[in-house]
Amino acid sequence: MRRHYAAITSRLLLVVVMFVSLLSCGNNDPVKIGFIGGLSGPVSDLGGPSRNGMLLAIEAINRQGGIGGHHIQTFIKDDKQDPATARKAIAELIKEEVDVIIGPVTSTMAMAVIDQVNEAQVLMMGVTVTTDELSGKDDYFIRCLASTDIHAAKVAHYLVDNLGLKSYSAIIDLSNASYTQSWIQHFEQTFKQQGGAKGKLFEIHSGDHQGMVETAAEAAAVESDIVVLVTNALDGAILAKILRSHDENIMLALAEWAGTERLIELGGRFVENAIVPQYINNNSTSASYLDFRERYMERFTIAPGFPSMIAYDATNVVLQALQQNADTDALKQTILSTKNYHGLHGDIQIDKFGDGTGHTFITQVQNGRFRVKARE
Amino acid sequence: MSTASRTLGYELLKQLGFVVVIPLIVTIAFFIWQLYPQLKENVAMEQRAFAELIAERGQEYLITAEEQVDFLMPFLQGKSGDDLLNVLGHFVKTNQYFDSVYLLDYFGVVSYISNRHTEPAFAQELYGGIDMSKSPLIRHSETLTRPSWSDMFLSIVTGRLSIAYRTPIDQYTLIAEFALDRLPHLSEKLSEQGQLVMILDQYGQLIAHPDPSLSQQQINLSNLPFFRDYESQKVLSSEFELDGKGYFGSIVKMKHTPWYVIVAQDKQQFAASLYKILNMWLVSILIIVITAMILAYRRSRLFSSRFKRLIQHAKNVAEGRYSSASAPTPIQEFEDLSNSLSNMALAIEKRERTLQTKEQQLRNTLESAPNVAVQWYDDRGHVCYWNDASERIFGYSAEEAMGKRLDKLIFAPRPTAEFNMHLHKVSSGEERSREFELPFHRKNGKEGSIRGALFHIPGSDDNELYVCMATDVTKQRQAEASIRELNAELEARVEARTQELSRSNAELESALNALKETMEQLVQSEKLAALGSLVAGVAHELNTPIGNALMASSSLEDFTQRIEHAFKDGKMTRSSLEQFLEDARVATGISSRNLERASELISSFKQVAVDQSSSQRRNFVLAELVHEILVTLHPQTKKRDITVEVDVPERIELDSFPGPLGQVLSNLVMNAVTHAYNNHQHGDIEICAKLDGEQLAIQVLDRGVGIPDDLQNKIFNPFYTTRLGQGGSGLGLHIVHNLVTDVLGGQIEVKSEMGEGSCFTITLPRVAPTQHYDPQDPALNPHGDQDNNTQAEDGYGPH
Repeated sequence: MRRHYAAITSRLLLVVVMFVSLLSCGNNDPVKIGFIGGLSGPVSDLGGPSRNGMLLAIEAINRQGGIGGHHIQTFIKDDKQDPATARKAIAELIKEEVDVIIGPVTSTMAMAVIDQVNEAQVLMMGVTVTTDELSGKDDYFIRCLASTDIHAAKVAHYLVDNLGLKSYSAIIDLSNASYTQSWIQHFEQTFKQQGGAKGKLFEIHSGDHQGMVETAAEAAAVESDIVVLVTNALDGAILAKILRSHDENIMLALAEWAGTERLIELGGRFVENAIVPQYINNNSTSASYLDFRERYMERFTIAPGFPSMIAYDATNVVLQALQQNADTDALKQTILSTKNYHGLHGDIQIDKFGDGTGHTFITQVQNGRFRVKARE
Repeated sequence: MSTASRTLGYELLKQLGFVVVIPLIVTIAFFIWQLYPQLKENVAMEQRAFAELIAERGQEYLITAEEQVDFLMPFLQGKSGDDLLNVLGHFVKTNQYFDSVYLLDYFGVVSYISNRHTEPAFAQELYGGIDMSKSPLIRHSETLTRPSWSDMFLSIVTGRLSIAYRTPIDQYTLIAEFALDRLPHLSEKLSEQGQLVMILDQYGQLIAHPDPSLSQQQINLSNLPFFRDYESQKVLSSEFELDGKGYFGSIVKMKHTPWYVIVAQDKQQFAASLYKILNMWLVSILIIVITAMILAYRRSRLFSSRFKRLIQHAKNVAEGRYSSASAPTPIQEFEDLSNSLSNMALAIEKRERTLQTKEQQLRNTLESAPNVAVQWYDDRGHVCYWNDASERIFGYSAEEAMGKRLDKLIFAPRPTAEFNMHLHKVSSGEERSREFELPFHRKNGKEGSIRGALFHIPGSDDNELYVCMATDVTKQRQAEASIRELNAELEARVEARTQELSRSNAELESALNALKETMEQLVQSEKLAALGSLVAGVAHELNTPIGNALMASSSLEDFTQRIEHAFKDGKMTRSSLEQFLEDARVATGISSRNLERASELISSFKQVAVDQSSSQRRNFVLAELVHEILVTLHPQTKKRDITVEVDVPERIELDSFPGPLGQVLSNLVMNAVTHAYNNHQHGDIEICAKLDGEQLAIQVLDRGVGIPDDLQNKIFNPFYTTRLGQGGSGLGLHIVHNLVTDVLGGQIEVKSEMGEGSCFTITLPRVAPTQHYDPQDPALNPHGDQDNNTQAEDGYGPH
């Protein structure tokens, strides 16, 4: 009987010890994924939705038990569209030993941090970074989108070929010069190739409304078939207002950067009929897109814009690669060797330099919605 | 117990260990199953309370902001153009909430605007006319009828995420923009106690966070479990992840706006605080356990040493060292135990002494009992003990008897068998003890008898011992034999005497019968005497009237002859005739008067005679009876010059026996006549009666010599007389007593004073009890009682 008691006691003590040790011990190592993007400030209409798209993909995987039993942990940083902030954020992510970084969302930020990731050999999957300065390089930056030159060229083609325009003037935002200059350069190139005249270029700085009023007044005064705005949606909306306040019938085109829902929200009737290229097809009826849209709206209560979809695809590419090969050190190799991935709007192809070959959809704002006018 | 080899110290330590460990385990289990969730719940409740507070403060903040707008409204009414812009400009400069205010027209286009950071004219130029119709700011606001807060939107004016307070005014809607990065200040201000405070809008968008940049990031937290399920109220607190960090937080909905306040704690911090509690708790428990075990060890050592001392004490007691003292101890129970042991030792010692004394007493008693032979036997009948009396009675010394069986010593085969039978009965437990009487022979060969009892007592080992206690009854048996002889002789004598007595008895009986006969004869003779006396009395009484009548009639005869002669002679004269007529009238008068008197006497006599001879019960008047009795007694009273006074009311009527009552009265009167007064002395007797309800009291009293005290209780006895041999029977007053008590159902008593007289008082019921009395009973027979002489002698000795 006494021995029995002793046995019970020792077992109970064992249980206690096990309980205590259980409390003090943590989970097994998670997969760490960083995010960087302009979550606040003028490009937040890119950053926020991008982050949301990434989260939607990761949360789905985590619900299924993570990757090979490893939970995915996210580290989200806001670069505020400021190079110094971006570098600081990347340094923090590197210090956190993230396995991969999703982002950033603008080319300028990508250029600001590319050296850091290359040095740390941390793979960075860009979202809406399309600058061709990063094209064709075997570095630690990869993306699912085609580079800016392709999109800009598509717009120029459309304006000249489809609409028969001969001249343009352009307003670009120097605060994202990597993208805007690259974009307008390729636009001009193609526009001229197609027989158009070189347009006059005006420069603004995002948020400088005083400057914008003056610049827009000048631009409106220039005789041209169309004014091309290479800005974000907010600035695009203001510029559109100012321009169309001067001349109600002025034709507008915007870079794909401004092609978010915000453009319509902020621009209202002033952006009506504007030509806007899009990376994705907002009017898609494909099953995977509809499923994504439903889940996104359920999760974030608003409709997804193109940054969400691009980030979602980009994240899924990373996750698919990790599922193929859990070795995070070999992630870049895995992604580059696989090449073909399923995206929301068809296959995504990534070349040996880690550049995507995404689509471009030319849309026009009609009755407050983007209507696809041409693809490819 | 088989495991008794363990020491008390070890056992105590183990038990105390259990006492500590088991509650410990229970407590730990309790912590895990109850306390941990409870702690968590407590944190959650604190968080919710805090969140409520923040919600209130946030609301206050918003309400204050609203009040500013409300205050602005009257100034806008009816204004337009620059006046309106001036009012707006003044407003944005003076209020601390709103950076931009503008009026939207019906189409959602900005009509008037003022911005804090922009020069008024420029602001109007730049922003005036902006189409807000597609903005979330006025989405769903077409039916705006009263002030409300907008959803979050990106302000085209500030380029920042904002919310706005919307108020309808005239045909416009006043929009007062509120930069969301103002809310983080609020949130930061509200983040106390290391708690993270966040505010979400109705879609789960983060609109306020202590980190201002986060609140501008349009972070959507609608996936948080407590937000998602807020409506069902199932989960109001849970763990969640945000910005790479784990949190434990709780949610509360604001009342004023459809926003939510989340108060959260860093999960690690939260867990750390729980771990801290747990760790402190575990450490304190560990300390308790170790301390308890050390204390238990020390205590058990102390206890075991105390027990050892007690054990030593007990051992001493067991070994007979009763006086060994135990060390004093501060523990009451030990002290009590120790004292009890000491007391026990004293008690044992005392008891042992008592036992020794008792054993000695017993042994002495056994040894010195002079006539009781006591022996002990084992179960096979061998002698184990042989006292002095046994030695004396049986002639064998103890040494000779020890270990032998009785058949070898004192018993012949038959008594041996009987004795063994008794032994068997007792040893088998069939009977507790057996008594016996057996013949035996002494060592010197003389025969005798012993009478004794056989029973068993516990022996020193497990064996039973059998005790025989016997006395020598040889002499008694011999004495009994001689007594039996004497008895037989005595019985013969008694028989002879009894026969003699029977004879005497028979003689006595016949004598008694003779006596009875004599008494009857006596009574009979008395009856005859009484009758004679009555006749004599009556004759005497009749003598005078009849003599008078005779004399008168004789005289009348003489007168008649004389007148006849005169008539025949012719010498009858007128005067002689007249003389004759006169004489004849007188003589017939005398004659008839006396004859009437005689007739009266005869009828009285007849009544008395009938009553007294028949003893019939009837209704009668007492006064008449008394009168009749006195008539019959008149000769005696007259002769003795005794006056009888009667005071009896006429109306008293009885339903009784007039004969016996008359007898009683005449006996009492004659008794007084005879004894109360000396011869020739005048006396008077008084008879009075009084009826009290149904009880009648009759008194017969005289004023004579009286009755001495010592005789008063004897006078009613039979045959008591002061004149025995002078003719008195001694039955007079006895008969009176018997008649009053037995026949009339009454009582009689006498009161007397020497020289003053006597008074007989008879009390009797007016209606006599129904009973039969035997008129043949000589003691009651009324007839003899008329004898005045015999009656007169009763009870009055000293005349």
